[in-house]
Amino acid sequence: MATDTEMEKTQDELGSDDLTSVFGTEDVRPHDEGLRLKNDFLPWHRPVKQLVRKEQWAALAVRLVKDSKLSKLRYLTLPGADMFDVRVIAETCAQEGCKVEYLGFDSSRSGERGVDQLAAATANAAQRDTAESVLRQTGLVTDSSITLNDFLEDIAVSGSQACAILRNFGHFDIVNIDACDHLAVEPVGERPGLFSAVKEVFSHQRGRHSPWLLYVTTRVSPDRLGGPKEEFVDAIKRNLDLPTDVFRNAFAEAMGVSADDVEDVVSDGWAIHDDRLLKLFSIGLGKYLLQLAHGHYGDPAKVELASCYCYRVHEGSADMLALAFRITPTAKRIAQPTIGGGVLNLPLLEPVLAARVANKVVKLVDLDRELAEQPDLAEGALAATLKLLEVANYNLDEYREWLEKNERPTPTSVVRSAVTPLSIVDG
Amino acid sequence: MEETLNGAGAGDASELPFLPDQVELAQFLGDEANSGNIVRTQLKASGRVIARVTDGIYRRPASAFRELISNAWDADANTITILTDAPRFERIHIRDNGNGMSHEVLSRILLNIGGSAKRHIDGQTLGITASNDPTKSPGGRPLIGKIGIGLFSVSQISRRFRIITKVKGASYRLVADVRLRTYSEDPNDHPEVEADDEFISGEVLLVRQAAQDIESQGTDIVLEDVKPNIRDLLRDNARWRLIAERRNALSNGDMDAALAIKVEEPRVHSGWIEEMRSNDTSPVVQTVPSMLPWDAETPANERMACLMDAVEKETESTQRPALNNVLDAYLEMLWTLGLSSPVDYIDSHPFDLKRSSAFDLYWISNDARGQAILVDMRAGESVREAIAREHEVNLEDGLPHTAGPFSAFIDGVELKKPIRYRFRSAGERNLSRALLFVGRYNPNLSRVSNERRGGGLELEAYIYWNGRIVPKENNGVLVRIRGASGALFDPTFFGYQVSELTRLKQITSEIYVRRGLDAALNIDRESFNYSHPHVQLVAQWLQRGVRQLTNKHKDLAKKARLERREIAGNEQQSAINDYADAVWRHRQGDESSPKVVITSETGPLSQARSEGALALSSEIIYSSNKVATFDQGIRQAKTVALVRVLAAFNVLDDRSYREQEDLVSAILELFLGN
Ligand SMILES: Nc1ncnc2c1ncn2[C@@H]1O[C@H](COP(=O)(O)OP(=O)(O)O)[C@@H](O)[C@H]1O
Ligand SMILES: [Mg+2]
Repeated sequence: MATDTEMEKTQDELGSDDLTSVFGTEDVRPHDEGLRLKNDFLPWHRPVKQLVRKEQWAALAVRLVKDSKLSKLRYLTLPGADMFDVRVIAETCAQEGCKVEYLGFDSSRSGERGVDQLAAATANAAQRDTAESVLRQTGLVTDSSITLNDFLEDIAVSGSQACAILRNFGHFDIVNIDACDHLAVEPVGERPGLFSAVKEVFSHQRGRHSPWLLYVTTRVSPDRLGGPKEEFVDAIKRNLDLPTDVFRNAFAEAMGVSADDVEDVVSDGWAIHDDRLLKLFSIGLGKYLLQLAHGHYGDPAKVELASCYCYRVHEGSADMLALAFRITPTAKRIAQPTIGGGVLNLPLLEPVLAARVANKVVKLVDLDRELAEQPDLAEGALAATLKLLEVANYNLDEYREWLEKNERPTPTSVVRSAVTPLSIVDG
Repeated sequence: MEETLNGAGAGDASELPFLPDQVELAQFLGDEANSGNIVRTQLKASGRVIARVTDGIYRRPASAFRELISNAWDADANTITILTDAPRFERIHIRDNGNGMSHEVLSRILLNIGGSAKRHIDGQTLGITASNDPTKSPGGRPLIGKIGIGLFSVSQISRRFRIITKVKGASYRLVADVRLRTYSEDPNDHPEVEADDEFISGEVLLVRQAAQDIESQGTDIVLEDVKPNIRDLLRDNARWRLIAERRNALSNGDMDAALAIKVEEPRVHSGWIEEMRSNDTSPVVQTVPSMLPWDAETPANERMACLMDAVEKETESTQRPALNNVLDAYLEMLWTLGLSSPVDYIDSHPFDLKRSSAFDLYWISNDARGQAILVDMRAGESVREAIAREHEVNLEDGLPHTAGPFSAFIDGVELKKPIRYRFRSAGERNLSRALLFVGRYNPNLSRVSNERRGGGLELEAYIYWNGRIVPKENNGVLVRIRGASGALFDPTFFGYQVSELTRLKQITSEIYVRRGLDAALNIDRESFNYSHPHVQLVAQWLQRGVRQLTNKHKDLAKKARLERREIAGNEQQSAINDYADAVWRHRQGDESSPKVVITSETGPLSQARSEGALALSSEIIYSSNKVATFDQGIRQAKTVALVRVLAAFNVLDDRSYREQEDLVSAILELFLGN
């Protein structure tokens, strides 16, 4: 007769693949995550981010809703667990009788990582579910709005699940690439970078007839600029090489140099972390997108920079850019024969539009400075943030403590002397 | 409560000692002094019975979705939206805008699985039933739920799920995070099983969160981590793996292995992802991209019709298309859910069909030996209106509800009942229009005692004859109780024993039960307890109705045949033809035999097929050299006779046209080829 220990020895080992295919994954999340009052505060919980949400995202959204008479705003976003962006935009649009239908990508749960990260990621998904339900039950978003555990970057891979989902969803009125990270960083591994996703968005949106908005929030620092930077440089240079100076002059003004020195700025301006880098980045991206959209002979569109803000997350000088572009499809272009018989490479309109992007960048708004100089604005932003945090089940006392402990870096460089109150009435 | 068992004739028993308590009863029986004394008690079920339910009693994932849709209906929701993440099926969301669950309701359902307050006086105090009728929702819908296990059908899909729910007017929202245990009968696994046999099926964490949106309401359920085997079922993994294997075998030149794999790619499908696990560096890629019968622009309410079109299109390659040849598991689930949910029909409710040349309307007689009566529909009149005018009966199924419309959406598809009433010919020897038999049955059961009656019974129904039923899954009878149905079409018509096999295959029937029968449903709602008297009553009524239909069909078909014979005059009849006819009659009775067409032209071929003829391509069946050069006249006669004989033995049923042709070709080769 076999003893107990002998019997154990005769058990057959199951491979871990077999185990998961039969039993699924073990529960890694502490069971109460997603129910407890939350207290893990991150940079986007600062009041300064609320200014971006309200003054840039929501304000431009509501204008689009009014102009295009939308009853449903189709919105592509990287919402994170709190869904604050969706809430702020949807609450504003609700006043115009418009619901938001969003497609969210939240990659924080994907991937195979350690148990701790998986636990955090599952908790993140749990919190997100609740935030989504609250928005839906409140009637701010449609029932089909959904966030997927996918990387937005994957839309740039043809045949990917992310790409198929995007196709199925159709065109968007607003695309919000709120990258807490660097848009222009060089990707590692098989997965394309976020910048490729931006390009894919443009190709997805082709064939659209009405204007749409692209929001880009990104960190900018000299050591995190990869391939996209080269594309920005190329895009700028193409216009500097044109016979017309309209772009060159506007660019020189924006960068605060003389028209003859702009070439130096284009090649060297990327190395030093100051406000010129932010401007260079904004113009480079804007010019690149303009070229991308304008260059489609089938479905040309013009790109305007509707709003540009910067603020600080880690550094003493501004290291975050919040840009909003408006893309307006234009009538199909008829190829114009030139004197030489060929087709004009860049129609004359493009440099003018590019110059407008540069003109806009001159007015880059430093949100931290605005907050420092306008107590009312700061108070309002804090109050609105507290409201958001409350709905999202955060511990407000701990939030106040966190704010105090983590003093916001004060602006060291004055990007713009703030004499007029913050406004986005432009573009 | 304990007095409820007392029926009308139980006068004596009520005077006996009543011992509902287990300990007392055991003591009584253990006491010698009680020898010969009668005692009375009640049967009670153990919590363990219900505990099993939380581990899944359903056969298919569709069952769980069906229960959730029913719950939204019962909660007076106007919409329910299910997002499945197809073809990945990782996390599933179910969202409705119904009444939500209050703190009392949620507490009750978690601690009383199987103790539904629907159809119960508690329902009124909890606000989940109408104030004047415990069988209706607060908004007046007939309640589908009754047992209190449907919600836990999700345990079959996922062991972890979250409920987020809000009641209108409440200043709070409830979030419940449920984790179920896998049912185990190993006593070591459950040290905490209580002495009173209440069974712990899992753990729930709940939180009440303050809500600012006082006026909003609704329920969200998130299935967090779909079980691997359910994901595989939903994504049709087994089929796609075989298809991939065959592709590999073909590319390796292994023909034996390739031929051994018989599965076909579904015509339309949601795609397949072979490697589902994503990681930090590589994206999830669709191995087979989806091929859906609609595109991104098709409105939600037209998509189910596109699905039906895809299934009907299959008649171009087979006479009676089967769903799983056309649809993958996911699309078939949408189909099934459309069939079982209280939603609209794709085109029109049969009672709302307008007079047309596509069908004749008959009113079913409720007399045991009665015959159906032709209803003369007036121009512009609907079935409902014609019945009301001629028979003074108001058919109620399909009329708008007081609680407003109800729509169910899955991944952008609005569910509809995939049943159409378009005439399809069974050949020119058969009828040239469909037959729609409609009836109502409200048997008087007052002479049966309460205990045996099982409550009252009332139903409306139709029995529809069509030349061909497409797809074949729509053949049979489907019983809807309170608008919902768990079972699919029953092609045996409750085990109807007749030889009318061909005619039975040409019938779609639905029974809309307005009262009763409910108690005869097994708890999975997918089958009936056949010993329940209501099932017998319904089966009997239905089978009489079917008989009335087949009798009428026989008469009409005979007339049509005679007329045709006159027109055809002295059609050349060979001995071989007479023989085939005799075989047909012997096997199929006076059912009209199918028209056989042999032609090499594709136009007439598909034309004949769409008219219900057995049409075969001469190119294929006469392809071999010897057969091709055989005397044409005799060959034609023999082929037609052969096809008719094969049909008489039902050998050709359910085969694709190509298979029919290959079979006939093989037989011809044997007899004419040498
Ligand atoms: N979507 C929902 N909206 C509101 N209440 C619900 C919903 N789903 C379930 N419930 C509540 O949970 C109870 C249990 O549901 P279920 O297990 O399906 O049993 P039944 O429907 O038979 O009562 C219901 O009686 C109802 O009170
Ligand atoms: Mg139910």
